[in-house]
Amino acid sequence: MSRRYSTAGDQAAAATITIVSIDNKGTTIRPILYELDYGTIAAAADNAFHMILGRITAIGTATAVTPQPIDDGDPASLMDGGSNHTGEPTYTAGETILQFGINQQATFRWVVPPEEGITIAAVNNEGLGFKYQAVSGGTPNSVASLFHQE
Amino acid sequence: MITPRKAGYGILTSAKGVTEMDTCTCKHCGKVWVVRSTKKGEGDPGGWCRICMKAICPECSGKPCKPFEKKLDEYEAKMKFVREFENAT
Repeated sequence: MSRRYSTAGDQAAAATITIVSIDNKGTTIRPILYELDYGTIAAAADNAFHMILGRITAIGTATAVTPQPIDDGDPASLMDGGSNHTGEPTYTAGETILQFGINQQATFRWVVPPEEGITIAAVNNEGLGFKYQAVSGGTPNSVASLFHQE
Repeated sequence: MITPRKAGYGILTSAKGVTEMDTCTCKHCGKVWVVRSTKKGEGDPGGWCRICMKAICPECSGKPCKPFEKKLDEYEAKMKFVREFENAT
């Protein structure tokens, strides 16, 4: 059975800023993202966000987050994670995987059976990033978790 | 609403209540979309590729079959070549 991991991050709301990202550390695996959870944790007002999950080819500058194994007995992940980005990852143009509009006061969860998830190429630094594309107002802090298997 | 057996699932929780939705992952481009309805005139349910026998998104509908796995194979081979070229020079 494949190993499963969770990568969680947070970021204050601002347009085109990434909350959390994951990227391949090597060229040996094709990780699959199968769940995304998102919500705002503080001072959420009646404003809207446009959120995007897209493919990235470089993680940018971020606080490192180690993907945590769902099974405590599993070894370390072969992916890197990043949160609270100060330098944006390099998003691949035209490769938006999932996007949605959401009120700041709402939470969102997307999940699929792992074999139907979003596959990441076995190429170094390839991965996925989850970001605010547009913010209609306010700067509340939001959190997101990406679950993948490898 | 008719979706493939292994379709995805979205849950939106807000002050107005909980909204649940079925989603599909396109086997040609990897995009995820919400399947609103299969009834005519009530949103685009996407398509079904009769070659790879998988659900595909509205944008990939009517285009030649090229599974996403094949695109990954090609991309990985290309990047491997680039790496080898860079190492050799």
